[in-house]
Amino acid sequence: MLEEYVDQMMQCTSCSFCTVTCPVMNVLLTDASSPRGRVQIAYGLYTGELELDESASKRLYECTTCGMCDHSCPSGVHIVDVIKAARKVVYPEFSVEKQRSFVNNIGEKGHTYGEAKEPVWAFTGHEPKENAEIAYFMGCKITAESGHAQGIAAVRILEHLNEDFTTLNEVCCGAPLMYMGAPEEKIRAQMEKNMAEIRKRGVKKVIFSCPSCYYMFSKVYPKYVDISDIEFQHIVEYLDGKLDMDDFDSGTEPITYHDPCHLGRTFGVYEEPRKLIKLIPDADYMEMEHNRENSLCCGAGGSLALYEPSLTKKMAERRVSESDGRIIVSACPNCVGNFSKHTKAMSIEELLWNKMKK
Amino acid sequence: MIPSEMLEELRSFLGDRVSTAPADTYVFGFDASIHHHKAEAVVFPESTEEVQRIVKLCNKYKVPITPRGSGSALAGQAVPIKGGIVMSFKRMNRIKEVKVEDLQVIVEPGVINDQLNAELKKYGFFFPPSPGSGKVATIGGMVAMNASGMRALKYGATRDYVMALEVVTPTGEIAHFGTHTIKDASSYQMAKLMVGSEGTLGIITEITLRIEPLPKDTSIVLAAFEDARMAGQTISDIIAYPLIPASVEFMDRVCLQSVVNSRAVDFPVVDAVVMIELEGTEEEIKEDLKKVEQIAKKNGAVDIRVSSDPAKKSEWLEARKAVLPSMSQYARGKMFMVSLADDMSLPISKIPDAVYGFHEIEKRHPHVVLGVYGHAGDGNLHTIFLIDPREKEAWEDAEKMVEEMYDLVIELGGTVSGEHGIGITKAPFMRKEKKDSIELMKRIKRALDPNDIMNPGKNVEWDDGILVDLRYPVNLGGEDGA
Repeated sequence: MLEEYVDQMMQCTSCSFCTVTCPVMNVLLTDASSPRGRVQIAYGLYTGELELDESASKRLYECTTCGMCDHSCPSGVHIVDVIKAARKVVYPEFSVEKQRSFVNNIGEKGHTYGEAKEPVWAFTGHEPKENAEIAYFMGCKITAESGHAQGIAAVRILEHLNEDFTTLNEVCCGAPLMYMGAPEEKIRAQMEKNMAEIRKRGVKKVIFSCPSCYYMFSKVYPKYVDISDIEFQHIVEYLDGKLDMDDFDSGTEPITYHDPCHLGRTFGVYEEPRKLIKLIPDADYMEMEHNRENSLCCGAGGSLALYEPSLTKKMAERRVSESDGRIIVSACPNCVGNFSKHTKAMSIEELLWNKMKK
Repeated sequence: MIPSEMLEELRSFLGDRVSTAPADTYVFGFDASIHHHKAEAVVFPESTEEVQRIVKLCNKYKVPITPRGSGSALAGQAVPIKGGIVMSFKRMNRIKEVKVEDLQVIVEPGVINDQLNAELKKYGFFFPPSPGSGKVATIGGMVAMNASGMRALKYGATRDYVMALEVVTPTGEIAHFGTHTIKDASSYQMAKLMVGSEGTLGIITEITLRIEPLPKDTSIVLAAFEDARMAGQTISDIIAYPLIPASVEFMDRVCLQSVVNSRAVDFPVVDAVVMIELEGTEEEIKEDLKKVEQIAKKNGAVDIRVSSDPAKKSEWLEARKAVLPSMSQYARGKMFMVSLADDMSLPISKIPDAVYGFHEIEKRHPHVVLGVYGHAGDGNLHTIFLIDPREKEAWEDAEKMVEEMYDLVIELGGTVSGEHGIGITKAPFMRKEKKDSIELMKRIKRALDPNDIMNPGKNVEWDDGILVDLRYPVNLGGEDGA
């Protein structure tokens, strides 16, 4: 599995530029838990100089795959890809119980959090239909948690705009499986179920609230299934240009925006959410110190929250300390869910729907 | 081998700030050099007292200690080549006191250069040495290496800014070298002796640096040449004019191509570019610009660009600083950057001869592509080797080439390191250059470190060749190679 990445590993000059920007390294303060350290561990596992053990797996899993390292690497190493490949080596023997139960839930019941009590779309009241123009993919996090608020708000906005859309009888996109290094056939099974559902609905575009789902469909699915005829977008990209200031009541509580890692550093979607927020007249908005491509990870990504929740907590607290007591608005259910444990946070869909003139 | 009772004792006061985990000791066996050797344990002290207790234990049990900042050393200084303990300074990273009225700042060794300058900027001051690795280089590492970077021509090296040091000696005493005064003629300049000692003479736990007021204004000139020798000539002519810019940087075609491949920067890809940073008042800069343009044109510059726009200047400076780590982007997947003959310093007038000579040597070694760049204005060049490190022949070729290049450097009156230090990879050539003083330096080392625990086997003590404990997957025969 690691052979494919030998060139990437050798491309690393060990300059250490990634270590100062890594939000995990900045909490743990050890090179062993830096992006460079993880590449070196992967390299040691590949050459056989380093035996696979708990210490190697710990360092490889202590990462949110936020991509700050890829962004700051002058040698052009795809560090996150190396880490993901190394996790495939680690997973069979050294994944933890929580991770395995997640994987089993997905495999057996379709979702990360176990069997859904009702169809995933049920709480929105918007039934799936065939031959709509677009499909809205909700994602596990919204389906299972967060009081479904982000999903409901997204659906209400789309209904309010009279969009011709369908919800889906979806299953987990497979992102958690990929981040944990779970067997590829399990990821592929998720892809096939989701693609069969999307094909059944006959849509040509799918929009997402979750940047990780968006990432999976846009960047990972095409490696396994032919979906070149379908377009994917995050909902903030989709809504950009469809709303104007007249649609909103004025004023907000003090708010700030947190750039989700994938939506920002992978897709470069920085301005669309800000434009949408600023459509609210007199929005009390301020940026955090680290924003756009330099945004700090909330700490919940890459399955870290399952592996080492205490580290997730420290990273979230660090990020929250930049918000200066403002409500953190984000375009990712994972980030919103994680921040909500420490401060007031809400999805951008909720903010927009709350302020829209009904 | 670290005795178990010593490890127990370390854990008694460091707790989980001692690690013997295989993955950790493996990672702390790397720096940015070609070498790798596993540590036996890693420690993360948070105070001078903790450093002292660790050193006393190491001295008692005769266990090697390798101090480490960000681990970006290029010649193996942070590789625990004799095993033992690696001491990370990531947790001693406080700026303790900024005293602008006394022109000084007091820091712990783990403070990072750019972070220090961000803090000093609030007061209108700065710490001038500006290594390409300034984003990551720790002040402790900069002192230990006598780092300098781009502004040495006008401002000097780290050595010139070290006023006082707190040092834990190899035998465990806490010593204060230097003074907190601008002038100091009180006995031996021990603080200066520690500068550039690469962790072989003691562990630096506190540093007092002289600081300078920020310059009023700066402008940058990029002059492009289709003949690298004329670029070198331009540098000599600027200095001789006389004109002393803040920095004068040189990049050859390989470096320019690499950095353009790595990031969106509008550097022209020509035989060589000279980047000149001018400082002063608006009027002074205007005058200097005229002189620089005149000299560059006389030497056949094919393109001259000037900017005083902060965003553009920052883009150019950051791109220049990214040359070294960008080098593996030159022939992605085929050739990789390895740190060999990475640094040398020459009389400024010899830069054109050195650049020409290096590329002539390169022609005789088909397995190597050479990139040349550096702070040519102060005579400091860097060369980067691109090879396929999986090929035995590439290493053999590279080894011969390093020797020929350093022979040329010594013949031209230069030294084998301007700022990256000696470590392992440059030690054989340093021995050649300093044959009449090496024994004296070894005596100093033995006097201060009788049990040879401080970064042993490096610098004056390294008696082997350079292709030792390689971190690459190649078998060179014998015991070397991964």
